[in-house]
Amino acid sequence: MRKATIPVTNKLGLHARAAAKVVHTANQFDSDIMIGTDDEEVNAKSILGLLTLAATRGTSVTVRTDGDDEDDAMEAIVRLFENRFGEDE
Amino acid sequence: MKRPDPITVRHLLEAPCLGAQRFQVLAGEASLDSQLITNPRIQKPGLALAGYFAYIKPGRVQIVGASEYDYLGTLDRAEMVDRWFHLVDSGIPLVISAKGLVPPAEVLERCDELDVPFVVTQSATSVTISKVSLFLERELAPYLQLHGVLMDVFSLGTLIVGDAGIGKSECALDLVHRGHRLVADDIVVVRHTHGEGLVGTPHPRLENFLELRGVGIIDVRKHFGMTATTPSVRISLMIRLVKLSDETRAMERRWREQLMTNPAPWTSTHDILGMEVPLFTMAVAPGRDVAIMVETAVTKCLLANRGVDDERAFIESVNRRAEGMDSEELSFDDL
Repeated sequence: MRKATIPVTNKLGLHARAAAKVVHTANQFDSDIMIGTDDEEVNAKSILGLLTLAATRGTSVTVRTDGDDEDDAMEAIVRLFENRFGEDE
Repeated sequence: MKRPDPITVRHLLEAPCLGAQRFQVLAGEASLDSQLITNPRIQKPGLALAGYFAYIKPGRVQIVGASEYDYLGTLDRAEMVDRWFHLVDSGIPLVISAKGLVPPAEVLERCDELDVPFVVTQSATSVTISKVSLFLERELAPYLQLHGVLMDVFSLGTLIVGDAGIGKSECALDLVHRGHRLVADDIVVVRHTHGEGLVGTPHPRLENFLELRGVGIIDVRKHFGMTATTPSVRISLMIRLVKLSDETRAMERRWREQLMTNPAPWTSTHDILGMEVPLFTMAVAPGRDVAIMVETAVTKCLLANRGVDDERAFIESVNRRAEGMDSEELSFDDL
């Protein structure tokens, strides 16, 4: 199992379109991928749960990957957050 | 497992499910939003009013009834008031007085000074205790968030779990089409209360919503009407959907053997917050209608709850017959 804490740095936070990108990325891997804030953790492969997080800029999320491709999955999710979900700011 | 945030006294007093209590605030009106209830259990402070204060716990609602007032009536007035003062000054968030009983005016004045709300209800003490306890347990019991779908199928809460993309939401839609009700999709909030057992509710922001891959996000209530969803249900069984694989085939074979040796309505259980729930594992494969299998698992649980056991009688009769056949065949051969 891999675990990492990633800051949300884009202006709009983990908004709906960003959440869709997370789901899309997560579904490319077989590992279980969970994303959480201080009080809740949701399955990253499913959009509704992610939408409830609504993490804002300046907060951090905790990512957990567990499975055969957990390293690749973690790298892909971290990269997505670092690239601000492909947004300019 | 998480502990919910404390609730304010106002939240309790204005709860719709406690509307029939018609709480009337006699003192401490200014602190309804600042006094917090942290403990789901109420207290009857009889022993405290008799002078033993060790068990009065901060954060717990105190409910007083006729027995407390009767006892206090046997004391002289100064002492009675002193006992009241001691109670309301022990860090408690709220005093509820039942049966319309009211303490002396100086007690209410003291409550105002200490910012401790004091309310009265005309209801009987026992009714007040059970209603307030049930409400507090629902609001304050520790809870768990699970990934899955919760349906009300023939009144039994059916929790469907499995990997993302296995078809949980599709199965839920199928069940809604058959007249069953959706409680939660994706995130299921589960509480274990003493009064009701395991209770599942949706995430507050996801109520009535279902995500269907290939279609989109569906407001089930708008599509299928208000009877297609329900806000909470007691969880009675769990269905785990898995992909058909060599592993699941081996598992199915093991269960079949277990069933033939030790007939039972279900082959395994799953622990949720300390409660054992019957668990059915179903392999999803082309040609298998999952919804009808879920419905049948539920009726199996309903029958088991009523003492009807499908397989025990059947398997025992087969075994008896097999034994009889053996001896008959032997005697036939002997001829």
